Amino acid sequence: METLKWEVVRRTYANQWVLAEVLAADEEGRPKEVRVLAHSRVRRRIYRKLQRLKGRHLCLLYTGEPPREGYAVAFP
Amino acid sequence: MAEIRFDPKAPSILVPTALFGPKGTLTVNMVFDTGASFVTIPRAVAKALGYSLRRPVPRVEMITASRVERAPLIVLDRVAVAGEAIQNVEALVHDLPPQGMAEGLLGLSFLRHFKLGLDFERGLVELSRPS
Repeated sequence: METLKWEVVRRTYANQWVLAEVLAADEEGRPKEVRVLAHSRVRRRIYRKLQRLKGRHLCLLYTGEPPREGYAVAFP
Repeated sequence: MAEIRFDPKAPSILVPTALFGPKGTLTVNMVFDTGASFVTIPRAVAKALGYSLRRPVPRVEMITASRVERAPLIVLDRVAVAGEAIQNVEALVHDLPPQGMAEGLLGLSFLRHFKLGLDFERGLVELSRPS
């Protein structure tokens, strides 16, 4: 599996959930370089692959933007 | 002091958060939520990190908008945001609606260890240790 910059991953797997091994992160903790392990538009499919963690540093992130119009969030 | 950029026009403030458990480390986006008593993570993430949710894991009453539920309470080995890490962070295990773009809530069990700043003009969350 090849090492990719996160910006490349965002473009390649746009609007998907990506599970990847984190090889480098920026000062805010955002992945910079990763090795993609799985990707899907359906989050629960990625959840099934989370057991690959096994001592590694992985990330599970959505590559799209949240919709801004007609969308509200409340977690009381 | 740690600074984390966010989109001030987004419907919620998402913060990349590293969760450390017995089986490894997982970085996810969490909602910065001073209204949540605890860090909250979904069941699948808790299990992947190596936490058993079988009893006798303590359950706590969780008040939501519509009802009171009982949710498992675990202690995460470590939670880190932009390099600021706290050990032994209590976390509720509860699945958020799948439509959300975040894996969980960054609640007070983590945030209360810091002085917090929210700058919507610059789109910055600031975390600093109390003196």
